[in-house]
Amino acid sequence: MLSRAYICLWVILFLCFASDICAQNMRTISIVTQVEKGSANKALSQVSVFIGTKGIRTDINGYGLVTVSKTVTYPIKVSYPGYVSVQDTLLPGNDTTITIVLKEIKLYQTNKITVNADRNTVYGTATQQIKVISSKELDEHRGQTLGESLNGQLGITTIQTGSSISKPVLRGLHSQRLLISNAGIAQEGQQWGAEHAPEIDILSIGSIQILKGAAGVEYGPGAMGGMIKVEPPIMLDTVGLKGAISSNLMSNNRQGSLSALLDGATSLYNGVLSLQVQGSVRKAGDMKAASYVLGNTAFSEQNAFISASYTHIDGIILKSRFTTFTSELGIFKGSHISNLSDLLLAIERGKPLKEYDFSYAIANPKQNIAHDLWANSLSIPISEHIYTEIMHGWQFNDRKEFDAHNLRIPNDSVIALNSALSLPAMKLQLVTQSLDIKLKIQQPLHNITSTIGCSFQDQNNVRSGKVVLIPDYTSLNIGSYLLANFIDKSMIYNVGVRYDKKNIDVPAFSTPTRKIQDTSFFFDGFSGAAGALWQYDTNIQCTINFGTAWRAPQINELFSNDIHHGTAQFEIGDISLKKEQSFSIDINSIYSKPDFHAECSIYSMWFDNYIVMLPDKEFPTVTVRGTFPTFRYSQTKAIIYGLELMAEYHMNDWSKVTVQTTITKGDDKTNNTPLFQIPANRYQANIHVHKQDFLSVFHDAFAEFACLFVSTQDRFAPDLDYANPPLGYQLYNISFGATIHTGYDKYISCTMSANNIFNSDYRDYLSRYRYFSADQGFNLTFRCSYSFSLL
Amino acid sequence: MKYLRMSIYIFLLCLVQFLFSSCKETDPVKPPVNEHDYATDVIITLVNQSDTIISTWSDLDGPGGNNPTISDTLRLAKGKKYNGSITLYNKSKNPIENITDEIIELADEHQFFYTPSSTINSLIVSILDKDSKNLPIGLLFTIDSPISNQGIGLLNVVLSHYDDSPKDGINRSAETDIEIDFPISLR
Repeated sequence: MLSRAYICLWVILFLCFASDICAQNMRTISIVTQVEKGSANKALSQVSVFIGTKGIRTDINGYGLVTVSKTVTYPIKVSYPGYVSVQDTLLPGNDTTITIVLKEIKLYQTNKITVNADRNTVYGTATQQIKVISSKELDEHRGQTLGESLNGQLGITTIQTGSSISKPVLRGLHSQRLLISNAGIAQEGQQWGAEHAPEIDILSIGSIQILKGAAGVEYGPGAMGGMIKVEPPIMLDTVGLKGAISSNLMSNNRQGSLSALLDGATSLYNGVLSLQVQGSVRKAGDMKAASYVLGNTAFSEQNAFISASYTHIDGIILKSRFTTFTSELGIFKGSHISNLSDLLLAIERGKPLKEYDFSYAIANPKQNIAHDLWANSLSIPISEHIYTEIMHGWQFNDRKEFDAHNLRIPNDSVIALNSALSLPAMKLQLVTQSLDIKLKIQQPLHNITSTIGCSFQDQNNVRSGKVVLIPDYTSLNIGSYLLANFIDKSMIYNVGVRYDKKNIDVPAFSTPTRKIQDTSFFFDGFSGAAGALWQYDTNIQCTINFGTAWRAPQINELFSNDIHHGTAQFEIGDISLKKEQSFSIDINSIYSKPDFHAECSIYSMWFDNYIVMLPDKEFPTVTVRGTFPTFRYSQTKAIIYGLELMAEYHMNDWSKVTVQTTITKGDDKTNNTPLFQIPANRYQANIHVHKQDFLSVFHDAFAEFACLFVSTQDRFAPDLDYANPPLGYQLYNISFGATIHTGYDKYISCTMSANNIFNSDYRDYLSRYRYFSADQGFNLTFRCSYSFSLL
Repeated sequence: MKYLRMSIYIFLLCLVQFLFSSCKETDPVKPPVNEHDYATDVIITLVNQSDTIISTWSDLDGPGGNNPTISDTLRLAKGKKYNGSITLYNKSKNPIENITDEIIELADEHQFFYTPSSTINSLIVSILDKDSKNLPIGLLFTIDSPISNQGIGLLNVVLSHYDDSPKDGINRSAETDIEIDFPISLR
């Protein structure tokens, strides 16, 4: 009894002593953050200051207090967006005051007109709708491909070819009518093919911006429907070294991926040099529909990038980034159709002919794709209100497609068979060089920002192999433009005009069916945009945009002359095609309050000389494999119009409900039929629950339940298709995740998501496999990433 | 002064770009693509005691371009039995490739199907040759023409290739190498 009291006393005494020692050992550091403004410094609030592992944010007057040990030497790190980061050392001592003076990085932004000025510096056309998908949002839904990760955004659907190939469709437009840029450079692959997906590693994406409506003025011909801007991860702008390792596991195709990122920055000659390296590998097996495996749909990818960026205190920013992408993917053999009666039998069957065992093997038919991108940019402030930006891009796209057919080898020689299997039926190598130069001029007195720019793009495509879908070609595009934004109280106006000319040269070639002489094409045209944004009050914003954009016919639309094995059609191009021009109007209104947000947009796009494939019923193509319907590339008048609605209600500070509707319609006005492959109407509802701190361990914890309803596409032309559009479907997805901090700047983020939780047997109208099989069944995804700071 | 240097740099970049686009390497002259791996000529020969009937289906330029030609209608007499054979050539290759030999070598993966159209469906086609598993091939066959029926129609010839699905001697595969309709008249 006595001994216990004694021990207790000791403990109490020890605690008192210890706390006394601690108190004596601690000191208080007062922090003052200021910004250099001429001779006098001004207080800067909300600056992050780290002393060792303790971080604070300074108050509205730029003051903050931190308690640290007296005897320890601490590193000091100070960072604030738009300012050069500061590093220093706090030596042991008593209470003291540290004054930190930050220097502004002279960017072109003026932070005076907050939201609008940001819009207007990021984009030339400040009044257009932009949706930004942050890296956090991406992490919650990161799918297998870029297309799949975008699917579910308002106005976006995808053309899927199994689980490995997916192309985004924005407002019914895709491929050559939708520009996808990677690190500021327009991605140039063989995008004319519906089964050619953009060659971008989903694991290397930092954020995505979706620009809706014609964006041809700043981005050139091709951005008719809008633009998807893929941005790399933000680089470290303060001195340090950070890293992240992440892994994705998927149950459906037993996919595993691993990616590692290293991000470092150091100060160099009055500036910051940042370096970023990432590598990722991915291996996936055959995809499973609700009740069967699709043979030969496995894929594997190896990707990497290295970026360097130098930001000088004067505001000069130099960036260079090299990305390499390699993918090998199998094509479901049942979709590689020999002839029309096989296709009709396959449609009747509706599922694969035989039961496949799951496998990681990739056999013919398959695609081997490599894409290298080297993007360089330099931006220089010429004076306080003028800056120039130069972007240079070099891209090499190497696509090899291996056929399954015609592998009957004389004398049954194994060596001959193997060599035939290893030779691509079609090999396309496209080299693209581009240069964009722009000058942004701000006239703050008149609230006008103008941009003058010119751009060059040079392409060389070399084909080899037995299949001649497109010939060799070279093309040169030169364009120049002028854009101006004018801000007047609650209004922003913008107007822009661009002129481009494009040359395509095709050297003579001959196939058994035709002889083509040296052919040169010349196209030119104007793009234009005019828009207004009206901020009625803090809650209501309305925009209206008019635009016109054009594109030259693609090489396949000019020269196709072969059987398309995916669709059992004989496709014939037309070298007399003219340019396609669009005129669009887009009205968007936003109502936004802290707990409620709603958006509504209606748009209409009229097309002159819209390039479509139309059946030529009088001249079917008879071959040794039977008779194929002939389709010819032709031009019609067309209209695509639609409605996008979205509302989000925050029931309280931790939960919200979102509903959205996407309606798209398209008509061929010349033939008075609906356009082919316009996505069906989609309705989506989500419940999202979010807790900043959950059970004191989990941060940013969230859970989401999403339902997607897709209706049956009832607007279709029966002549253009062998099977009616599939029935509508519902999909239910669940995801949840959280972040656990394991130390200063070290954290683990995990998300788990289940897609198609009821394993429903559904087919999307835009799925290329819909004739042959259902779309992907139940899929459980587990993502985990560990981020850490090394310095 | 500094910005002058920058301007020069920009100018040089432009120049480099133009050089890139102007001094392109001359395109190498490519050999014309004029070989296929498929048959350009399919010949059906029917023989009985008194008569030899030959019809040649030919598409020298391959799929597309000019449509194929068929040299003659297979003119069969009523109530006769014909011994038939089918031979396939690829005449776009030099020397001419005899695809019939390849089918014999890979007989286990191939089968011909002969289907008379409804107007002449009393024609009976029987396959004579067998592969190593004793399943029909169809390079050799007989046609029995009935006494009662007369008229014109089509003989649908299909060559199924089995490498994904197993050959069972009865069903067509999902991969068709050849599908041709030969006109037939029965008198």
